[in-house]
Amino acid sequence: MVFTTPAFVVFFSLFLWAWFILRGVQRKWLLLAGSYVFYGSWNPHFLALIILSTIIDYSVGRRLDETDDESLRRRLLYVSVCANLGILAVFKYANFFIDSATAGLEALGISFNTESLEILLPVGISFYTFQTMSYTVDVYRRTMPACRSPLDFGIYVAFFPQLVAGPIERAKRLLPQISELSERSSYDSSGWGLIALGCFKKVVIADNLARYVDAVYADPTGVYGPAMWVATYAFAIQIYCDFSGYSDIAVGLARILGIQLIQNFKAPYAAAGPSEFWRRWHISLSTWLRDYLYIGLGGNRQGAWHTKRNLMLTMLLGGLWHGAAWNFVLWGAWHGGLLIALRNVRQSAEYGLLSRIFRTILFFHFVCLGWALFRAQSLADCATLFTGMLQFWQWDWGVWLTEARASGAGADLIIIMGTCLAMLVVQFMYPKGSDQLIARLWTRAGAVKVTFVLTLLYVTMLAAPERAPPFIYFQF
Amino acid sequence: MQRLLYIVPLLTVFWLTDQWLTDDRTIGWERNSVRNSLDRWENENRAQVAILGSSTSKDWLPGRVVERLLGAGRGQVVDAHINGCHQGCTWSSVRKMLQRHRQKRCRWRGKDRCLPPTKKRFKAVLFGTNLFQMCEDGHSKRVLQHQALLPSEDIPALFSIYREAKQPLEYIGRFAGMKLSGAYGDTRAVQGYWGARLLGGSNPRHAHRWYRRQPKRSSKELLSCDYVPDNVALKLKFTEALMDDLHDLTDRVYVMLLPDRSRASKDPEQQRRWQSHIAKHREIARTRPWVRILDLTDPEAIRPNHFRDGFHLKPEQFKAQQKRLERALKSIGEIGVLKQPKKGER
Repeated sequence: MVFTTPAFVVFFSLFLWAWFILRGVQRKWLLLAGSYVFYGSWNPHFLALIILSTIIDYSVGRRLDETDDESLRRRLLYVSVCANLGILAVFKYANFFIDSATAGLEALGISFNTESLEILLPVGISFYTFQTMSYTVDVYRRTMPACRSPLDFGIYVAFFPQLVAGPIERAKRLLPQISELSERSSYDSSGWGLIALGCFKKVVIADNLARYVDAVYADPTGVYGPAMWVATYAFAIQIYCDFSGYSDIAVGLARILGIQLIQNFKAPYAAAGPSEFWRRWHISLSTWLRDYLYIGLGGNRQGAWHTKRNLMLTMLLGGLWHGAAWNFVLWGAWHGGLLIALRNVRQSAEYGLLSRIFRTILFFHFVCLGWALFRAQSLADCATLFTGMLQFWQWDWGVWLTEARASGAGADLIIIMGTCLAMLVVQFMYPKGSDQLIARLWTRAGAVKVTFVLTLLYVTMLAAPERAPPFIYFQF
Repeated sequence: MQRLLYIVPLLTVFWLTDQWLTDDRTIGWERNSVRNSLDRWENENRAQVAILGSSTSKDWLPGRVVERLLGAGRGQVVDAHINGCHQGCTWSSVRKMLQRHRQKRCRWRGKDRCLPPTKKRFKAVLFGTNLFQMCEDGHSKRVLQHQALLPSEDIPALFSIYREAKQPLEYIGRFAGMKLSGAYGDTRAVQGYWGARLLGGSNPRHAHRWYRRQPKRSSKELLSCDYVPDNVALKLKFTEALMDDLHDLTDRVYVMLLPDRSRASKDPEQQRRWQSHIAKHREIARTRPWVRILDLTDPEAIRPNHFRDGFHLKPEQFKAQQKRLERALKSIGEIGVLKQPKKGER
């Protein structure tokens, strides 16, 4: 049940109707049941997995809180981390490890025939396992008390607006809001603005750009220079609108229910360097990796070499988190390399406007090279993509212009480049992201707000492609 | 109350825009194909036989061939097919036909009391279906056809059939969205029309054009049936409802099992699907004496190159398919079944 489908509209309408009728603890039960129905709509069998994860982390959290025995506490932490990583390892990475081991042994001349396992990847598994793990680690570090209510904890793990593609919420932030749900109602109408904006980004921009991107990336052989770059620019905008659109809808839905989620994106393409980029892109994951992995590895406290090693390890694992394939690991390595190479470059605020624009455009191209790795379907495709990007001389402008004139394809190019350019300009105008735009709009009269929401929703409805592709980050 | 002052005019503007887009006959060919079908059969009061289903039922089957085979009079066969009209769409058409028949043939008795007509609308109906039609799930065109054709009183029945789908809420949501906005019912056409007007063309099939002369992937790859149990269950439910309602509309129903490209496949999995497809339709007919199954799939003779895509026969195959229909009718003794005895004949 994807947010931008009619099925979700029906589900959420029914849910909201019941939500405004019910009061007190009944709302919590409704939220838990609704979240399980939402998740079960993909595959009811995977509900068992999320319930198992909830039971393990709830029990471990309670026990961690009750005991002062450090050895027992450490063992309990291992139980939780192993259970969560074990679920991830089996359901997400088993085939990757088997295939990689087979390929490695065969490269060494050792015949090792094995078949891949037939395992379905449960939707959103990477998101909720990271969320529950952060809870256990926080309780272990005693930065927060354990959750007493199994109902509240069940909602924390399965909260449907952010269950399948984040933001990865911290228990410290979300659990207190959930526990107050039965006592107060803080409906926030700006949620509707975020939902409309998110739907517009996903359906009108991302889904319509997808067909141009897919046409190239499905088979990149024979695509050169400008065409490959244009497809990559388009993918950069597509993935931003797809994922930030999802996050906007998630934050908007939660606001309507009276819960404030973390803002996951702050105009990432307005960044002039890698550190700034990761403070603006998928903020909930990058802060998670910083707090639980980078700092856990020692952060920048052990000298320059260790800092570089920690940065690279963090980004490699961050890449692997995105998908069980080597191109994601390469993408992580690319960003790790950028962070290491450019970590001493000054912060963007210290530049003049022109210098900042130049650096931002330059860095955007570095990010695009990373997206080419991310979007590639295999390691072989990565090589084809990069070769194609560099082979400008293979592109015959004369032939292309003649054909474009004959077929009217020039309009397609205008759509792609115009959309990309417009999105980059908007990021400069609103460097704090969608929230800034909606907050500014919500100071206006009611008529302006209603017109904004209805117009965006109507345009979204008309622009919906016949077969809307699911959100890209659902696969992670 | 103050909010109504701006919400009501705003909604009115949206409604008017939507009506304008919906009523425009230059866009929305899918809606127009439904309208055209309605125009074809609504005023054909003489018609005794109807050909229902999609273009695969009709494009090889001229009315005069049906007249000859069933013995119907000249001009008594009406073409009521709709392009892309599968089981659910045909069921909706039949519900619409029944409603119109009731309204036209109302026998008024007493105060505001309409008795149902005593005569059925048709003597025979031909409906064709192939394996491909068992597979496609959730295409908005299908829901558009249900929404455009089905009388409002039958919506609960439609939703009860949607329960068989893998994602019933998806169907219900699309149906509700189309009730709310006619333009939404044909968004692809709206986009194509306005895309072409404003930007000079944005047909999704031409997405490759900005960098390559020809698409790399053949669209034929898409036209195969995966026979997912959820989809099959939904389509069979529609077929059962269709057969039951056709009993009120006509004396006899001929279900033509039509071939598609996969019928020529030697793949055991494809053959298993076809056997299951045929067996399930025979099972439906077994409990409904007014239904006759005509198996026109002929795996021995059908070849993949007989089709111009996955399921439409090439024109040169039309005669062979008509022969198969004749043989099938002969085998159940239904040739000339509608022939009226001439004066003096017994």
